[in-house]
Amino acid sequence: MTNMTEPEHDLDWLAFCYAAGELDTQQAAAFEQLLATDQDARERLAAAVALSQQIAESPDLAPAAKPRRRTLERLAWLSMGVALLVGAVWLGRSFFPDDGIAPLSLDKNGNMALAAAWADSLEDPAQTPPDEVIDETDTATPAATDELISEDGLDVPDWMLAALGGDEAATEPTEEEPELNYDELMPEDSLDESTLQEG
Amino acid sequence: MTKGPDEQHERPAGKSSTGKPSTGDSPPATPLDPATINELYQQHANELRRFLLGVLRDPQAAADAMQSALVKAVELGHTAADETRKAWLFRVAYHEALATRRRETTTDRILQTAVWHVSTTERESAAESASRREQAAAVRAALARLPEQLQTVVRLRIHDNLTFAEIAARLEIPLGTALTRMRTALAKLKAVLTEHEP
Repeated sequence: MTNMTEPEHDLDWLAFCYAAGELDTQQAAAFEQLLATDQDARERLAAAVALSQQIAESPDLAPAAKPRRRTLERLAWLSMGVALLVGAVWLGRSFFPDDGIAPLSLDKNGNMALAAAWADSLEDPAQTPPDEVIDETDTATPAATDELISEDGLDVPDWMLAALGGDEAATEPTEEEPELNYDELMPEDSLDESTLQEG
Repeated sequence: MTKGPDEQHERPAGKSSTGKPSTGDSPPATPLDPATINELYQQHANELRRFLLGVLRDPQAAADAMQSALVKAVELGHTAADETRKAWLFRVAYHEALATRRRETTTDRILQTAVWHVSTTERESAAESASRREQAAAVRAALARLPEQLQTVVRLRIHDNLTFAEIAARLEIPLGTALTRMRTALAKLKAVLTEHEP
C-alpha cells in the first residue's frame, strides 16, 4: 500500500506499514530480506509494534469525522423536537384556556398581566387557617416551646432541650465590647510630625 | 532501500553464516553461564517479543520462536561476541520465526493482519510496568496534542482498522495525504515514546 518507490522512505514508516499489514507480498518480502540482515530494521519493527500497541490502547483519540457529523445531526433533531414540543404546549394553553389558568396576554402590558396572574394564584393570607400562619415575631420562651412539644406528643430527649437552651444562651446579646483605642496601641516612639518632616 | 549493518557485523564469532560452528582457528568457547543468559533475557526479552510479534502476528507462535532462540542462546550464545550478542539473538529468533511461519499455510493472511489486533500479555517487572504506564500516559498526551486531522487518521487506521485507501475515501482526501498524515503523526508519537524510554 505504501509507496516504496519514494526516494527517502524511512525505516520507521516501512516497519509500521509492515506491522500494519499494509505492504503487498513483494514489498513484505523485500522488507523481510532487510530483517534477515539488518539489526536496525529489526529494532525499528519492534518499536513500531510497541508504538502501535500503545496507540491502540489509548482511548483519547478524536472521533472520526462521520460520527461527529452524526452527533451534530442528532443534536439538531433533538433541538427541533424540543422546539416543537414547547410550541405545542404554548398553543394548547392559548386555545384551551378552560383549565383554570387564565391565558397570558402578549400585549404591551405583558409583564403587568404576568405579575397579576401570579398574584392571583397566591392564596389569600386572611383565609389561611390560623394554626398554619407562622408568626415570625413570636419569641416563644423555652417553657412555651416545651408546652408546644408536649401538646404534639413528641418525645424530645433532654439533651436536645439542653442544647437548644445552650444555643439560646449563646445567642443572647452580650455586653458591648469596648472600642479599641488606637492611640493606646501606637508605641510612644512612633513616627511623629517632626520625624516625617526630617524624612 | 537503506541497508543497515551488514551481516558480517552480527555474525557470531566462531560461527559461519549458516549457524554451524566454523572449523577454522576459533578459540574453544565455553557455554554462557546462567547469569549471562538471564541478563541477556532481561535486557532484550520484551523488545525481542515485540519483534517476533511483528513478524508472526501470533503471541503463541512468537513465544515459541523466542523460546527456541533462547535455547540456542544457551547452547551457542557463547560463540557470539559480546557486542553483537543482541543482534545474533534477534537473527536467530528471526530464523526461528520464519521456520514457524513456513509451517503455517496462511502466511499471506498473517501478513495482512495488523499487529495491534493481536492481544498480548507481556511478562514484565514492576519497574518495567511503571515505565510502560508512563510511556502510555505520554503517548496519550501526545495524541491529544496532535492536530485533529492527524488524530482522525490515526484513529481510523488503528482503532477502526480501515486501510489507508479506505481512510482516503472516507475523508475525501488523496491517498498520499492520508499516508502523510499518518506518517507525521507516527513520527511525532515515536519521538515522545523515545523520550520516555527507560
